[in-house]
Amino acid sequence: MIMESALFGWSFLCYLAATVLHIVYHVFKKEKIRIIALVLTGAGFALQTGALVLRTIVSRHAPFTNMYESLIFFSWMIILIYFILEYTYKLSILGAFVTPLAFISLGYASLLPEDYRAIEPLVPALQSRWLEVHVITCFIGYAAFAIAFSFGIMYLLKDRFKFKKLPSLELLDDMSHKTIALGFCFLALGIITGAIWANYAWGTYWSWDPKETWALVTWFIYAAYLHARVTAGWRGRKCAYLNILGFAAVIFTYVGVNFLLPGLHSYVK
Amino acid sequence: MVLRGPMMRSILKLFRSSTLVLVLLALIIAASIAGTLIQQNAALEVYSASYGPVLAGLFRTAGLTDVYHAWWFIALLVLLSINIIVCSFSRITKTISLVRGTGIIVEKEYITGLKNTASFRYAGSINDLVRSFSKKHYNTRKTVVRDTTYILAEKGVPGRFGSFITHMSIIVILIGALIGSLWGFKTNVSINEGETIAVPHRDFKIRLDSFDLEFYGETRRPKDYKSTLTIIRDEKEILTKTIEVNDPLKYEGIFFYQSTYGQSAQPETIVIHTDKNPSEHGKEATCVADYTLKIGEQFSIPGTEYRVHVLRYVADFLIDEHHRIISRSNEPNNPAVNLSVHENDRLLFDVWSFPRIGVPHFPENFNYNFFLKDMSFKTFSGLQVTYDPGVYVVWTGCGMLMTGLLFSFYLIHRRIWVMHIPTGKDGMVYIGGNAGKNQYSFTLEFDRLIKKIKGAA
Repeated sequence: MIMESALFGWSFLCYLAATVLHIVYHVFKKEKIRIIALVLTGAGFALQTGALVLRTIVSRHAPFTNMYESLIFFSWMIILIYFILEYTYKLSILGAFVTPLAFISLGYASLLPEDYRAIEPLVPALQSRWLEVHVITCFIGYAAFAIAFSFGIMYLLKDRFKFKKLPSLELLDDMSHKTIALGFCFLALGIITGAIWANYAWGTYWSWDPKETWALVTWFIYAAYLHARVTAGWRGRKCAYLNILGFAAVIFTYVGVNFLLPGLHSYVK
Repeated sequence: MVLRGPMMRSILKLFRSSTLVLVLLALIIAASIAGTLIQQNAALEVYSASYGPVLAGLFRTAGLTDVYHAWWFIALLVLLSINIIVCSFSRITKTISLVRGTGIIVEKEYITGLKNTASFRYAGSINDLVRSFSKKHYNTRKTVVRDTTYILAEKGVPGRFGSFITHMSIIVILIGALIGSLWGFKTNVSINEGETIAVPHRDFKIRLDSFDLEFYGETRRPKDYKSTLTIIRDEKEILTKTIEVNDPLKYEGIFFYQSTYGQSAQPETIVIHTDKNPSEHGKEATCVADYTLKIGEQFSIPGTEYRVHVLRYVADFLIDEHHRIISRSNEPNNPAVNLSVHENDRLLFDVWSFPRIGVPHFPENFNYNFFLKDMSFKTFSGLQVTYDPGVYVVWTGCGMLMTGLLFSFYLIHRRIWVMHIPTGKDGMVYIGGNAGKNQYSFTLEFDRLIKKIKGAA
């Protein structure tokens, strides 16, 4: 898998460089730097897409069946949604906060020991179309929450340090709300498709497995965020804190459960 | 009426409050998290070992060892349901009247009083006006009263009901779960090849015709495992299907899932290798025979009056602190078989035989040694048999949930009123509108519309 490792390594470097350049651009405001940063992000994305496609061909299954694969898929999804948002809303500052998330995810993947990286054929439970549907919807949700988290961090930075280069508090609050709404819908779909799949495979749509439970906990936290805005009129700082709490729950649901708790999704041996 | 009494009013007020929602949600979240951190449904010894006997007992009484079925957890869900129902229904009347709105014909002052409003001379046609709204996917209704044209352009009405649908969907899902737990059942059964077992709560049986297990290459990693099952009722074969993981058998609402497989803990047959000890010191032992037999059977040593009974088998031999012989696990990590040796119907002794060393010690001089040479196990198929009449209610609730979310976030109710008063060659138009939420982007859309209408004229 040398080719795949090479693609992976290069995309990691691209994101690292893109992060640096995005930040540099916002300090010096030279349009040329911004273009290069975007190009590097795009290059990293293209290389990652190549790595994922290659892995799919070689392993003959979808490229998200273990922690290593899913981390790469996660970082790819973050960049994809970022590109869509950048194109729709023309928020050039977003790059500086999102590319670090992508490269941290890849960095963590690269630190995983070899036996988490190996291409393994699928055990019977995973041999189903529901694998693709369930995982993709969950990861769109996770990625949307990651970007919402970026907006939350930007909000708190703007609130505390009044950086002129950051967009208005109102805009950051509104974008946090929009991306959380997106993540909320996809996480709901992810939980539901997981339940449908579990019902096909094991006859139970809900068994309070730690992963299922924590996904629900995450969903409830974001539900609290949405309710706080609508019924209690929360805005701004309080929402940003809830946003960050929600993302902490996302990380625990995604990674913490697998490594710290036993159960169906466990890697704890 | 009871519903109007003061106590009922304050109870309803409590259940209408959004603080109660947050409190209930927080408690449910905390309890759910506790259920993932504290092992569920384990034996008391496990908790004593991890938390000490006092805390273990406390956990048990508090229901933390089976959180999701604890009475207080169910009570929290019930309270949350009541809260959701009360909140949703107390808001729905307001929503319905908001949707009905003020109708097509409004006063000029109403339009000019709206936050998004514009009034200007307009030389174009009414149809062009209507078309500019239709292009933005508005439904338009038009009415003319004494030369003045009134237009109401509206879209996204379902968006107002998104919240109600989403919240009711949660109730529907909980009802489905309740139906399943009251009238459904779920059991695990192990079935061997050729075996027929009765299906619980039903009058038919199921037979495992064959079980296929495939590994990836030389590894122990399972590639596929399938069971071919036949439903039998009144000695007649009704249907046969080969099931695998993700592909169950369905019959009369009961589902048979390929859940797992395993090796039976007890062997089907074992092989005892019998040696005769050497007559002289230093010489090799001679093999007498290999006896293949089941637990409970016996064999005789030819040329002698000795008979050997195979009493029992343990997979993982261990002598515990009470000097009892137990099996530490079901895996053949340290297999041993208990033999009793008889001579002329008289019991001589009772020994344990192991694979490599045979019988480590005979109580008295004995010319033979017995080795547990081999065991053959049956592979059983692990099926999950479930009946859940509530599952379709749950799926309906899930569909409602996704619909409600879609309506809430992506369908925004927007209305624009237009009044066109002809004045000679052209006319005066008064245009004003509002939106259910996301005022900022409605204002953008409104301004763009006005610009287009002005530009077209």
